[in-house]
Amino acid sequence: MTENVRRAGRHLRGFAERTFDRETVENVILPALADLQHESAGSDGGTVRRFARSIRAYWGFWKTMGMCAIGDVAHNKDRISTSLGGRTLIFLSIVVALLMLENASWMLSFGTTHGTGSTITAGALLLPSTIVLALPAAFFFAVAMFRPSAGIPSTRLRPSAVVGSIACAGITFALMMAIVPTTNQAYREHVFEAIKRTDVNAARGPLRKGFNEMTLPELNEHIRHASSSRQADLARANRDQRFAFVGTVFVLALLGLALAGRWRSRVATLVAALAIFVTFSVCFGFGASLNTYGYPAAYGAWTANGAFLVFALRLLRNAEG
Amino acid sequence: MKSVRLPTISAKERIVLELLVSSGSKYGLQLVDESRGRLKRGTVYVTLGRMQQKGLVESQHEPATDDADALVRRMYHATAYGRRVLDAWTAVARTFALEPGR
Repeated sequence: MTENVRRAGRHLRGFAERTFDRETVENVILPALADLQHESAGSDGGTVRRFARSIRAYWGFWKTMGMCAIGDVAHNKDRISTSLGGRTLIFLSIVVALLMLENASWMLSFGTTHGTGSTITAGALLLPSTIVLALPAAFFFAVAMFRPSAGIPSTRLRPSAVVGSIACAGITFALMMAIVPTTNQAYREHVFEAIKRTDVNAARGPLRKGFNEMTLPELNEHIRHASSSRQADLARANRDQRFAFVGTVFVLALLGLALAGRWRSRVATLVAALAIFVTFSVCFGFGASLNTYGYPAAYGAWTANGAFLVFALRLLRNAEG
Repeated sequence: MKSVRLPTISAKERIVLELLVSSGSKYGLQLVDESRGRLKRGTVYVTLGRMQQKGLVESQHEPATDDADALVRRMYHATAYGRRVLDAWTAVARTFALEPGR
């Protein structure tokens, strides 16, 4: 058996032992790892065939790890998945409330002119766009601030964090590409109609959709039939930002995992999490605006994700020792 | 009559049992290779782990080598209970296959 195979086996075993409970490691991971080692160590066939066999073996092993993660969450082992889910909901409520406060004064003045019912409808239509902004942040803080029960290492959070980030990314994708653009347009039409009822001088005619009011298929259609290359570039930048924002969920989850259980003090963790989150948000906004300086939109949108992914992986590696 | 709760097995568990009963003890990857695509690498160990918990299969470590870093592989074999469950399910399947009008 080569030193590379041995080293990989040691690392993967250590990683699995820190991530899963003993029963899963004993009954599922170690038999899979033993077969992986033996298969990778096999010397029959040429270099290409050995390499292909090795890739297949590792792919199978990581799929097994994925299945174990899903099983871990589904069986709510050590009550981690419900605890993380509950914390995410609490943080989501806090962040949504903070973001909605920003609109409070405007909604109050809207309410005095157009009535309470109309204001509640407007607020409800703003909610999806607030949730989509709040969800990655809420999940990040829930992961970073997680404290497992006594005797359980914080690394046992990994399966729930991985499965939770996939779920959050799915929700963010659906909101970003279809639900938020639709509710944004409904919100604009609702406000426009309300203004038309009270202001006879208000503009008439249909309300044209901006990029933020276009669903993904509409945005793609707009790019194909754009009147100018500038318009197409702007629409492309908007589309790239949406995809990059979905990717943000994974990057923030990794950052959260790197922070979880790092310090004993909750205050220290919160301060570090806030500092990282604010820096990330500034970088993401800056990256997204780079296309206005002629930098390719796709690279700009993903710059912050790329930089912070490297940072998160370094932090995690550091935490692993 | 006292009600008896029949043990249930999934399609994958049945394939594993059939392979273990027909040709003896096997490693996880041997089961994948001999199943002709019906079992996958990513799920076979999860299935075997679950079957061990249910008491359908048992495992034994192969003899340890001198290499301290090398993990010893695990050989799986069907338990007497596993064989009975497979026999029962095979009989049920045969009964339904013979039933006219189905």
